[in-house]
Amino acid sequence: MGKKTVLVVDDTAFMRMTLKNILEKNGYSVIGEGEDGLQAIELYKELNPSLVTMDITMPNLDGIKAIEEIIKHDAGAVIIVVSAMGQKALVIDALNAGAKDFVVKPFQPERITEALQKVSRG
Amino acid sequence: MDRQEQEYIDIFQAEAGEYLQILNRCALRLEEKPTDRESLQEAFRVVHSLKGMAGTMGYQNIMKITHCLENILEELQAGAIVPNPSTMDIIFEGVDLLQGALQNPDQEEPRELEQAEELTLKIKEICSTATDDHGPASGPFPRPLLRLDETEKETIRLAKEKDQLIYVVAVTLKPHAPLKSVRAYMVLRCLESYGEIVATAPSEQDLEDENFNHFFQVVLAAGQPLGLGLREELLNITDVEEASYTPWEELKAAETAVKPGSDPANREGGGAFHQGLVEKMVRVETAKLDQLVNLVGEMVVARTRVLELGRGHSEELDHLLEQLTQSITNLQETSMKLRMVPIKQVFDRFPRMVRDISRSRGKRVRLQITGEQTELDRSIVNRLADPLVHLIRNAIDHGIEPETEREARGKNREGTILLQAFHEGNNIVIQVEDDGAGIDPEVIKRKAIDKGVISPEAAAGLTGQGVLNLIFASGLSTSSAVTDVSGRGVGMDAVKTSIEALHGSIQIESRLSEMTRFTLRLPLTLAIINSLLVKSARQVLAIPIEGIRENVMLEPSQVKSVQENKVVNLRGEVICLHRLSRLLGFPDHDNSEPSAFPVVIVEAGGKKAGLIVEELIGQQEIMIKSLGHYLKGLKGIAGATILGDGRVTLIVDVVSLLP
Repeated sequence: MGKKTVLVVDDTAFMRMTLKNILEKNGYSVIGEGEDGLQAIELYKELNPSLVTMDITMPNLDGIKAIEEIIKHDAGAVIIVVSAMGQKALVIDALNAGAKDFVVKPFQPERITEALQKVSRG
Repeated sequence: MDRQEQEYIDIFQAEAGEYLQILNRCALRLEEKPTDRESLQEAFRVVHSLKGMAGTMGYQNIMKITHCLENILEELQAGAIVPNPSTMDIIFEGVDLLQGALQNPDQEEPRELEQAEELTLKIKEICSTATDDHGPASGPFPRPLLRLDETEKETIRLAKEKDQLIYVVAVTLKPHAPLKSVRAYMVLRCLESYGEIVATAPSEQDLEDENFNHFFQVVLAAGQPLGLGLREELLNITDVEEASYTPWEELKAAETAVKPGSDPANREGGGAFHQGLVEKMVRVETAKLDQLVNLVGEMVVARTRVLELGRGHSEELDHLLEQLTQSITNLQETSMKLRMVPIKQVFDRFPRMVRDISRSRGKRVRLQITGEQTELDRSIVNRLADPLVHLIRNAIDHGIEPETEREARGKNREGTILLQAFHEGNNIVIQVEDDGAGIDPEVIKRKAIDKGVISPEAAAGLTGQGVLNLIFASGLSTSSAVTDVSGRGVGMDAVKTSIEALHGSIQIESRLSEMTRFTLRLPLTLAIINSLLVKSARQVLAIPIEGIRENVMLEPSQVKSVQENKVVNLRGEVICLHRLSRLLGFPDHDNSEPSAFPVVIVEAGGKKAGLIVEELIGQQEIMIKSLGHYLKGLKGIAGATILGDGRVTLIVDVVSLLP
């Protein structure tokens, strides 16, 4: 089986770069990067990645709405929320919307790979 | 040191030793089943008692170690830490340290103190990760207690009516988990797909507000039994370190067991029972017991003489003698029972041993024990340990295959060794069975030929059981690699010899790539044996019944001479004949060949032989007396006994008798 493909969604380039680095180092292939929820939905439909990392607070369309739309399109989508501290209620909303797991920023690289491994196994 | 002080130390050591065995057992059970609260509570109780005892004696080191263990067990009980392998390793380490410290409790070696210090640190580390607070959001909260209000109790009652199963799910999060409340939420959501959440501890509100450390419990009413799947699902949630569930009833039972007296209806159960048992026991030196049994034995012999002399003088005396006889019989039975101990004493050491050896061999082995309450004579129990250790080690080392090999064969990755004991007539039977590779007869044959145990020609004629029995031959080791565990080539023959020295027998069964089973048959006691009294060279001799296969009357015409030996063909089997008196070196006056003579067919070490005697007298239970130091090790003589008429008779030792 080939590498797992990942779509990284975050409004900051720094975060996207950090995530991309971690993921590629750990054998994932980042096939797309989105800056907001709208791009996330477009890219998901276009690329059909095996995993998505999703920021919550983003311009134009937030992560939770994006998750809802993606799940509507593909009920089996595997999305991990990457949230900042103190966003407890939003994380719960994201989980209810269909996210499989979450990671809290700032995070250690192994936290994200661990989460990805768990969701792609389960 | 004065006598009394030594006596205290002896009692301390004996009792502490027992406690350690219990502790070992509890730890093993806990390792196997982390939710086993009963074992946890028992372990705690035992460690606590040990600490108290050591305190009384002033043994600082033991106190320190037990104090450490107490801490870790307390945390386990509270659910603040989980019985994972590293926790269990520390507990086992503590047990080992205690074992060492017990040898010389009053002489504290600096090295031991150092080790105790190290252990303390390790335990502190484990416990602190559990209770340390990590930032203001997760302050040290009191341990959540599962208390149900009336509504919740009613919910449980209703759920039970609907045939739902009530479980308590215990979840531990990783110490540094961020957004614990969300993890708890994920756990609850996962549980909701299995049933209805009745209650949580702490409350759902506290879970949401992160008013908990890392541990919480959920009462769940499930539609069907919770399998292993749920645990896996929970562990797959990020930051969930441990998850377990216990049926509500089990938890309740365990709770009432540790609080004897709290509920009058439950006073008979659990902990109260244990307490009662301890109070009913008295510790007695074994030498005193042996002396008692010996004295009773002499009384039994004297009784027979008194009966012979006293009978018929007066009715009153006859009546009294009758009563005396009855009492002595009862006394004899009771005193024999005093010597009986459950085989548990030996079996108890094996779970730990199997764990350690199988770990060192990188194999997964489960030891299943049944019949550990089966009783037998103490003197036999003590001498059974070594042979059983050998058999079990062999089973792990040569029997159970490595995991990958087992998997390739379509077997469970985990091998099983079944150790069981049961009574069969006047014998105790002990079986050691493994579901491993079995024994390859061809390998055995080749080995036996290579080592010169058997000639190639003889080997060719051997089949099935005959080949398997070769492994009892001396100098045959079947493992191609010599390991530190077994396979040093002093294997099975030593086992067989020691079992036979106990008047027992050993058998082997094996199916290639399926199983191997050793069956040991032993008398319940060594003090009294069933024997056949015979006359040889005008002397009465006793032959233990276990060695006898049959008695036959032979006519001279049936006896053939092969080379210098006299043999008889008994139903197709050629058996060597020996005059018993000659084997024992008695002067043999009678060389005449009578028309028919009795022959006792005996078997020992796989060899059969016929012992020619003058007369068969009959079967009798005899009490074995040793011949004392000077006559110890006489070839062909196992001991002596006193017959009812007061005559001393030698007991024949068939094993060493046969040429």
